[in-house]
Amino acid sequence: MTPDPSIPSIADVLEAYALEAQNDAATLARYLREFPRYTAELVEYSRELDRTVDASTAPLGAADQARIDAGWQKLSSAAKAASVTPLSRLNPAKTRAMAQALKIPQQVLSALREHRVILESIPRLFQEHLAELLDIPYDELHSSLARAPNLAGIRSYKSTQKPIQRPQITFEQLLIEACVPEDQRALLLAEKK
Amino acid sequence: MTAPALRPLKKKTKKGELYVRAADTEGTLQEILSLPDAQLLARCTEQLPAITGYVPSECLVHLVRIRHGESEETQKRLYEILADRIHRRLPSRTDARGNVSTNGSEIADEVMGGFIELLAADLQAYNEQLDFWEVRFNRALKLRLLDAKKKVARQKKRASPIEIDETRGEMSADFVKEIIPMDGFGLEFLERPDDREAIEEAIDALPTVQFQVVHLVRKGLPLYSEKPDVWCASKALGLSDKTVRKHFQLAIDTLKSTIHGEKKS
Repeated sequence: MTPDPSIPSIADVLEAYALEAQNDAATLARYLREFPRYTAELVEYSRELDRTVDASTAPLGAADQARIDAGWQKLSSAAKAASVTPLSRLNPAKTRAMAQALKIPQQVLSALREHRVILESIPRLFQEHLAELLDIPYDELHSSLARAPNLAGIRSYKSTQKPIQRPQITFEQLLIEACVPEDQRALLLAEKK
Repeated sequence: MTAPALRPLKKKTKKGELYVRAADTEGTLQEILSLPDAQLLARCTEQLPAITGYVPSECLVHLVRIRHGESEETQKRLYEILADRIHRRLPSRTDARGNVSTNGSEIADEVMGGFIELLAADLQAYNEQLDFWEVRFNRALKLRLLDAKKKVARQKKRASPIEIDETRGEMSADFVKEIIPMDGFGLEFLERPDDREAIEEAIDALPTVQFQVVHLVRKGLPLYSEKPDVWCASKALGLSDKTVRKHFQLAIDTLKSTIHGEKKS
């Protein structure tokens, strides 16, 4: 059966409760009154929040360490898979050709590949044009650009120096830093009409 | 020097408001993002929240999400510090004699497994579920912990201990021979710090309805109220005045018996 979208899910309600400033009687009573169908879960969660945690400072056991190591292995594999993006698959010749087609310096493409640009600042029109040149759907390009920056392992093999992690910048700032002329910048920053 | 721009959170509440990190989290992030790796790690390693310069776990979630660090070794270390903090907030994985507790280990597997899934998904595409962890780390962890406990309990198909009465229905008037007074709930014995562990375990072991009544009263809700605008345990649980009082009395008797070995009345 399809859930009724007008009824908040238990996950939504408990998360909203967690975001409240206080887990006191008044807040709990308000939620119990508003969401009677989730009474059991709200009471359980409120009880869990009240539970005191005595965080020990003693070293963790071998089983815990093994669990933590296994988690890192999983994350590393996921990071490697995520680093293969439509832009990272381009060889130098194709990167050069694409930069020429877009009338941008290659460093702009490098910055996009390294997720150094705030996604929300990249105009949709530019993303559509890029996706078209890469011959992939817009959504695929958009989600690949949305991934977290991961400098380690991307450029380090090309240099004896460690890669420097720089904060994300806007697309406009990137174009300015890449010395793209003002009239070309205006074209690249144009939004759909 | 301008502070580095923080990646904004994307999740919205049901009312359409964006999730916002606490000011303390934002301030600490602004402060530590530009630190060299060695200094950053030294700051993040501090485990005691009371110490000045402590980096809140919400910040560590952010650093791990954006894979902060000039080397993979730093990224790994930040993850390990975060994972270490999570483990320290989980139920013990060993019993009083130091033996491995299967239950505790399974719960830890569930909690960590689920958290790693969230982080791995976030590497593929922005995972809004992790925004909660950047806003309220401890509460997000406790919610995951609760889910993990339930899942492990379900897997074990463990019968609820000392399950006296799971019914949510009404008790007959004949059964309710003894009505406890409305003033002075007699809960003071539950707040003694020296018995805390035994008290918490005993409350957890109560049958569901009694557990709920005790928690609500302990939180400060009245057991029963005729005033329509006063939300009480009786209304919240859909029980009559007599029934809620009887459940409460049974719970008190069980708790006293468990904690102090007193005979049930």
